[in-house]
Amino acid sequence: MKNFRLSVWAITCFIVIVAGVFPGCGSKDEGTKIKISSWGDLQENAILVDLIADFEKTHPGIQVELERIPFNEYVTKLLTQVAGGLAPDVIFVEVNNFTDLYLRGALEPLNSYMQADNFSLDGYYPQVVDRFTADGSTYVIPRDTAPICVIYYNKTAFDEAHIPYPTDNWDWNDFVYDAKKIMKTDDTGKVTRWGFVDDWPMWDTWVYDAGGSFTDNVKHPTKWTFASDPDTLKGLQFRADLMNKYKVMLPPAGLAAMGGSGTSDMFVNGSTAMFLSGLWKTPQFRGIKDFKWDIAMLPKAPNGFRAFSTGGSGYGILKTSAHKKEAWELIKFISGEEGAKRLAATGLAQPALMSVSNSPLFLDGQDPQNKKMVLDAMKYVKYNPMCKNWFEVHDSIIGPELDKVWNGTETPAEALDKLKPALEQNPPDTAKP
Amino acid sequence: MGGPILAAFFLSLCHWDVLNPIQFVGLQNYQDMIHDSRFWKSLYNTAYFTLLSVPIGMALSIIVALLMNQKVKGISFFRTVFYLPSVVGSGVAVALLWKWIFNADHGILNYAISVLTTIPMADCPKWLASETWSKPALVIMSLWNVGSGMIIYLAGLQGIPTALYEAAEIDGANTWQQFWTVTLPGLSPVIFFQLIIGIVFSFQIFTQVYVMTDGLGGPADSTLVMVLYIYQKAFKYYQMGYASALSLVLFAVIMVATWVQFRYAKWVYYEGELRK
Repeated sequence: MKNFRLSVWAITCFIVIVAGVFPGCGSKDEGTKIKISSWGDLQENAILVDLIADFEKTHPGIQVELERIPFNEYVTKLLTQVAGGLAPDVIFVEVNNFTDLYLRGALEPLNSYMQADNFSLDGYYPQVVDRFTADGSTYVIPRDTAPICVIYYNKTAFDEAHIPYPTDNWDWNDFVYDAKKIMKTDDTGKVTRWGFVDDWPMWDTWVYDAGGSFTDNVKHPTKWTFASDPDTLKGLQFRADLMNKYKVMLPPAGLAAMGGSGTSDMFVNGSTAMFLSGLWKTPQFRGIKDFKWDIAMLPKAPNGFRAFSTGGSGYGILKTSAHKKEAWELIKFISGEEGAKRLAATGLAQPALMSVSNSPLFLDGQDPQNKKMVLDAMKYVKYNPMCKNWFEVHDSIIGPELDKVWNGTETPAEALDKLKPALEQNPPDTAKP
Repeated sequence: MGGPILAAFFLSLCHWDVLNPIQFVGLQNYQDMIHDSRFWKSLYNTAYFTLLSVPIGMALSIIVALLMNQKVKGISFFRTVFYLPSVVGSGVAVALLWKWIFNADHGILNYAISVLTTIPMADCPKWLASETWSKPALVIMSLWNVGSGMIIYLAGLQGIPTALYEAAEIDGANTWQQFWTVTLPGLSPVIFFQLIIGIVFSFQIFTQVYVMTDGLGGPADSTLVMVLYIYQKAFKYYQMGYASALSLVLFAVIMVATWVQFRYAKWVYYEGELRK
């Protein structure tokens, strides 16, 4: 019996070993295969597909596999792939999840690659480069920047109300005045056209516009200033007032059933005359036939101050990559001028390469006419603090408390008071592995 | 098969962000859990949902099954109609549909309320946008699936020997008394089964909540159920160890609930048994 059992084990082990070895054999002479994963809508993805095709033509011996993952699942999928040993080589990184990836040591520093190839970052917006640089090294080559300061406005609605179009110099008071004037209600008192809606609850940008802050320092935060900064309170109070006091903004109850895409549909079908988002709505709004529209910069605070939150993204290399040299070649190619030009042509995003965003390729005369505003806007962008628990504090500690403010069940002052102990118990986590 | 469960046991004693090696920390996760207000909130939310949706759902399923047990013409049509929601499933598409139904301004639920009662639409509950009404909204959504329970109770009803009903009638029992003395005891094994399964599945509700609240469990964490919290901790906040600890706690809670039901199952009549 013992001999029988032994031989069963031996055969099983043999089969397992052989089965494990065979798949590894072969296909060694196809060149290096690298993987890149990215989010983005179909237009963005099409640009990447074309760029990769061109890259493969000019770089025989490197094959690139592109995986497209929806933005909301990007990190989830990435973690699963890393755990399973199937991680991509090149990843798409945006300014906020950059913090998580950098502080957990997942990104490859790119300085040595840049020096070896004389690749300069001078042509990119310094603010974006600075965001993607930490402790002396750059980790991500920027692709685009996306200040959250774009107020799309319905020109026809302004004409109907006989008020002049907004200029970039307007402030909060002008904003509320305009919003009130362009609102429409039907005979039963129900609102048929709102003054203002934002793409999703974009309260951060109002906090920054008021001069508020989240922490004492962005790159090396040590404590949360969010609940104690009086300017934060001003920003939150203003957004709450838009909904509950001036009543020019759609309150959350109406938004609950719509989700992200529904809010921009409101602008398209005229249910709202002003809409806050980033430049990425341009392709969708270029399809509007019923009215003319343009953009204006987020209004200044009453004291003249101005700042806004911003997005932005670029490409980085995972430290776990086995083909870093090839990955670097790919990044150089897709982040370069050719990629930026194609991106500019879609109107979807503002390239981080200044030469392209300042050129007629980006400022091409298509809608929105006031597109150059986003170039100016780069002066005022603010980035979120770099700590590992940024998302958790923002989405799960501050967010739920602020939900009560937008619903009108709490004042911003009360909410901030309630947040003080929670923020103290969860200081910014900047510990590196 | 035991691999993932053993891994969860081990990971619950560690900190792991996937991108770096696993760090053993002993019972740290469990200690943190005791002080974690969102954990207690998620436990409360899940218990609230289960304690409402399971009994109400079961009662409705039994009532519908009794109705469907009548020998009327076209009863098969009605049985199909009631069972249809379960065929459609309870996935993402259905959750999106319910999102629209619960819309405070344009949804048909508030419209129906404004038509059937004197409450104007503006004063109707804000459902998924309200802290107080978001969980009841989830319960209402779960009741759409009474059809699946109905089928099982229907089978149970048809398994009760008619001789028992005849005997009860001879003894002078009216319809109501027959229900309590024959039908319910006869159905008790099925009810017991549905109760256990119902609690196990209700405690693990996730997909609908994720879709209807964009993964946030809002507003203000009012719909943060346990599995959603586990998902956030694992995949949003890079805390696999803590998420594993949470899932083990969920497992323990469900196990205790099941054990309690088995312990106090004396009310269940099994066919052929003599009741003392």
